[in-house]
Amino acid sequence: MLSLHRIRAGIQLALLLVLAMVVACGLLWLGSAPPDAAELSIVEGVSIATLDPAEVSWLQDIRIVSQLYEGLYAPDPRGMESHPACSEPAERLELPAGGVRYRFRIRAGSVWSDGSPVTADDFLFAWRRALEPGTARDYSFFFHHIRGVAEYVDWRHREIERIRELPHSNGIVERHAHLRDADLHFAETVGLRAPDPRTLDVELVRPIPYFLHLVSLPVFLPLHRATVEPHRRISDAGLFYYDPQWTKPGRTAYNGPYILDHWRFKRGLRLRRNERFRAATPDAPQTVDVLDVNDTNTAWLMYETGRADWLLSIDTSFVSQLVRIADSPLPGAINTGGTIRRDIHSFETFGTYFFNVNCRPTLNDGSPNPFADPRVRRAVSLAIDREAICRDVTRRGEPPATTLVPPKMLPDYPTLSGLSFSPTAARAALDDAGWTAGKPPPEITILYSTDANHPLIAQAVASMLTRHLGLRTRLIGKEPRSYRADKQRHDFMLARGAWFGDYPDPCTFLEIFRTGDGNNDSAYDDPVYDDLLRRANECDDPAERGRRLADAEHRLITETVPAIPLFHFVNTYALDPHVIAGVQLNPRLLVQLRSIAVKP
Amino acid sequence: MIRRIATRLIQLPLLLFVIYSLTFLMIVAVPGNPFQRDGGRAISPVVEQALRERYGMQDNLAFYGRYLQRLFHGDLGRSLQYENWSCNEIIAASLPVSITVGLTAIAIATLGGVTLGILAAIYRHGACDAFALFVSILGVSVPTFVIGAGLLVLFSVTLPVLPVGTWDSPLDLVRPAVTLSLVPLAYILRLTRLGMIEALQSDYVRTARAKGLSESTVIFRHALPNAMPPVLAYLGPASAAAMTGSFVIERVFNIPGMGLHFVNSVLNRDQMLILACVLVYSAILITLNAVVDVAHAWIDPRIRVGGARA
Amino acid sequence: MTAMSSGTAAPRASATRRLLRSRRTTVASPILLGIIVVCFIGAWPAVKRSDVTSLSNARMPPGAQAWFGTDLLGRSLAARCILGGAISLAVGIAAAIFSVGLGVVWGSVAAMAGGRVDAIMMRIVDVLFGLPYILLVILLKIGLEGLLRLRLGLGHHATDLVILMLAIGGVSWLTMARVIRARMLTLLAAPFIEAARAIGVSPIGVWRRHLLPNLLDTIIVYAALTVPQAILQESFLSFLGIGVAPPLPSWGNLAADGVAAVNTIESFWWMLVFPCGLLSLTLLCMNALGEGLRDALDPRGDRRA
Repeated sequence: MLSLHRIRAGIQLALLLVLAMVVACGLLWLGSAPPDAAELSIVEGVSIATLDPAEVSWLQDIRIVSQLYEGLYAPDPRGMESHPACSEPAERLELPAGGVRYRFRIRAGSVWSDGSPVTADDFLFAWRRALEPGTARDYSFFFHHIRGVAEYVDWRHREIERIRELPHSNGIVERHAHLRDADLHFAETVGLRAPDPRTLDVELVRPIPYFLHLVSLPVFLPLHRATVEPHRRISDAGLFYYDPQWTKPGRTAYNGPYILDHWRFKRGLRLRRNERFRAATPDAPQTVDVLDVNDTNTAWLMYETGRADWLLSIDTSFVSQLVRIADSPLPGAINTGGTIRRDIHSFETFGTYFFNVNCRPTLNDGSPNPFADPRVRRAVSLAIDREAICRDVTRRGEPPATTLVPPKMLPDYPTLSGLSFSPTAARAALDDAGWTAGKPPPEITILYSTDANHPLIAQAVASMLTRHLGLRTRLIGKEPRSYRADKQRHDFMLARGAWFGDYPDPCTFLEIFRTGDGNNDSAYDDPVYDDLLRRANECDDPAERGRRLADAEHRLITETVPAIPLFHFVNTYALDPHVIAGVQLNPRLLVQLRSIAVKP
Repeated sequence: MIRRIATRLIQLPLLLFVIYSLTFLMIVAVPGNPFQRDGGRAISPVVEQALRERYGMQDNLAFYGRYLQRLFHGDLGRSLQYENWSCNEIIAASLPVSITVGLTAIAIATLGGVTLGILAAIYRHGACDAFALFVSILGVSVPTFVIGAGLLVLFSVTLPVLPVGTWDSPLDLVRPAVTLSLVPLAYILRLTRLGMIEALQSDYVRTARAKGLSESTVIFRHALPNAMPPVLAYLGPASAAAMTGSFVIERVFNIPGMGLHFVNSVLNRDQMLILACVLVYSAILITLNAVVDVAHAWIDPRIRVGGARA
Repeated sequence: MTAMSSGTAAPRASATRRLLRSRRTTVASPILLGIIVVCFIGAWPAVKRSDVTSLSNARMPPGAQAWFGTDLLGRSLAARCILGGAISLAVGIAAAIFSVGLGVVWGSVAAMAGGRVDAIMMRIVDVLFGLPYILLVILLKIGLEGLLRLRLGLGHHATDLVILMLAIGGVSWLTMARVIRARMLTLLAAPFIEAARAIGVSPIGVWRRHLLPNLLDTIIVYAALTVPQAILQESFLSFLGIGVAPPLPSWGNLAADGVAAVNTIESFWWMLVFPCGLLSLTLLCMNALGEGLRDALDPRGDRRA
């Protein structure tokens, strides 16, 4: 027989427990709420991954980090130029040995948020940290333009390997000696010098025409050495690591216009104005909340109900409709002529959507690659109706692309035009390649990731290849990481790709097709192209350099076709310009909070 | 009884160890590189090697051993995706959120399910029974992402009474908890109804009625307790599932809970966070199941639940 | 012994009567049957039509030209709903068969082997129960993708569906295994089994001739309730973007697309209402039928389900 008393006692106990836990969690939750609303609430669609300038790679992280720190140079709010920021304008000096030296003078009045002055040493510390083997990341190769860096990093790797092989006790002694050597080695061989606390000399291996743009990237930001260095750990083999706790609020000092006030995981962060920032920013919002909202429909509802003031991107399926009904008063916006709303702003960005074409002679399974022949690649490019894709599939007003570098954004770079839709020319190119009607052509596979609108675009492209070229196609949709793994192994025929320019120069797009480049997913191997790039960058005259680079791109998009551009990306902001003034529609999607004013 | 508890206590770490090993095997078998970020620049093999070393992941065997070693110190590792956060911090930030939503949902499900179940059993074949049946079937027939999205629009745009996407006040709890409660509510309703129908036909209820006890006393003091054991047994795994969060609900309502990590950590190949999530989830589930089993045995000494050979 | 086995036939006949008397089953079964027939028969013509994109006809509301309207690429939503239904149902049924089969075999072997083997097999079930299933499904889905595509010479879409079926079925057999084992243990103690064993019937013979007929009720009820769960799981995976891969439709990915197509700015309501309505109606009928079956075959019901 069941024991009724025990049952009742059990139920009561369980209820009490549940109640106690709910109350406890509720208290915990209320206790962690921020005190008040910020002056400006921004919605960021993707979670912030890291606030360490050396690790930063994603746009959302770049946007926050560039509010917290100020580099020697910084992109202007319009985004296609770089201006002196923490430094006076740099002096450039040609060296007799063929290199070039930049001298940066740190501006008087540049201080950290704890009051200490920003010194050249803070830059040296941060830069060395960003290139050291233990802390180097995606962007550290930009430092390899500096004299001695590549050699230093190689030497460090060799030494670390050597120490790792040693028995433990010897290893410790060796490691100690090696680290002392490393400091010396770095100071002597690497082309970075601080003759006095306010001067930084940077010596490059060869002239890099866009070096000042590179210096304004996050990986070149300074760090407050006194508070960051104590978090350093050294591995047994002599690699430097950092305990990431230094990135949390209150742990370090900042030299940018904002400091980090709160950072709650997956909920967002709060920025507060840095009262010690070198320039006055009287109109800038005192506090800014950056909210972490992953679902785009939810983000939109937050904006519509007044919870958020600014959506940094609208990616919902209805954005096309939204763009159509809205008329943006902001300069640079492409959506004009709508009548209903004035708070939606679409603008062209410095990014291109394309399809990579595998250029290797054979596929990974050993069979011959039908796309090894450039005429076939041309045929595919000619058979894609980009206008139709932009008009009917993506529908946000994206400009159809025939070039990789977004046109009319860069000074000194001529406007090119590549292959546009022409079914007859496409068929002719295919016939030319010997794919005659008699023999059945091989099946074409199209690799894409199953997120966002990539499946729709891939399906539209596949149906165009079938219709205009009579090709059999097979769609291979994979979840993003598997897709990425396949692509890096060059395990595809056609694969969707995209690139956003890192710095405002054509090279940021053209370098990824250089032979052996880590991002050359097409496995494009063309000595002629490499040579065109090299010759262009040897050129001093900006206009002539632009023409030479354009020749290189022309070869890519019309003759050899390792990538088929489809369209240039468009981004859409939602914000009321009567409430938030001073927002610039920046093609690189950067944001400068200090130039924004919020009206009550 | 003590022996039963002791067995469970010994089993917990063993089960967790096996679960750890199994999960480990799966995460290393899945293709995709956690260090090559989507849409980001490719990183060079040398840089990747140094990164792997930093996380103690030079090779699978080293990773397996090092992580286990860390676990003994209560360290769940560092997220590979959210590089500034340790898995301990991530779980400490998100588990309380999920527990709050989950327990509220379970409380709603239990209250609603038991009430409707009792009514359905008393008025069997009546309108109330039909309504209960409808609710119970609806709960398991419409995808949560549709219900969630519907509630979101309904109560913030059509009828602007609740805030969207915030997690600052108890009001934010209402919609997610209700959405999350639908499935357990359906099950609890069904279990209560069946149990009550059976109990109301039993001899002791007839005896109680014959003694002239009032109908409410008969139902609440005699029939209900006898109908409860299956509900209690179900509550164990149901609370564990509810407390560790639901991806859909957290995403639609923008709640910073655990459920997000279950899905995102796999999609990001954040192997550390996958392991941390699995271990925390499994520990909660196994503990709750054990508690329910022990409670069940205590209530009804005849039962030997779940094949435990105590 | 034949008398013993056929003894189960009489309650089953009365169960059929009970099932037929139940009002909800009489409503649910013809609807369900209709949906299944339309989906599977309509699937053949729908295969071609469901993938004909016509960008100029995109987003057409329901009308004479397109009964259910067209989707974002101008494909006929009716064709996609029918093919999607066939795929969802096929994945659901296949996953249920896989999971029930595995559960029955596992539970039976454990119960009949007894002792150490039983203990080990049930501990494995315990361990798998302790794993978060959603994580398991995603890992299985992604992990098997590479493996199966290399090993099997299946077409791309077929591989995808097989993986999905294996992943969903692979996480839902555990309850079945437990229930079957528990039922088997009670049955094994029954006199007629002991008698059969005493006269030397082989274990497989005992299982096939005497145990299976008695387990059938439980198996049917569970199978009937597993199909809607599997279909729901597929829809959830589609919401995450790892379910049935486009261009193949499924009710799940159509509904997930539909949720995004209905909002405060523009409402292509048909993209949500048709797939989601069909999905819910089917699940509703399946659950009602499953409940009816359970009431009819197993009136006491298994309380732990």
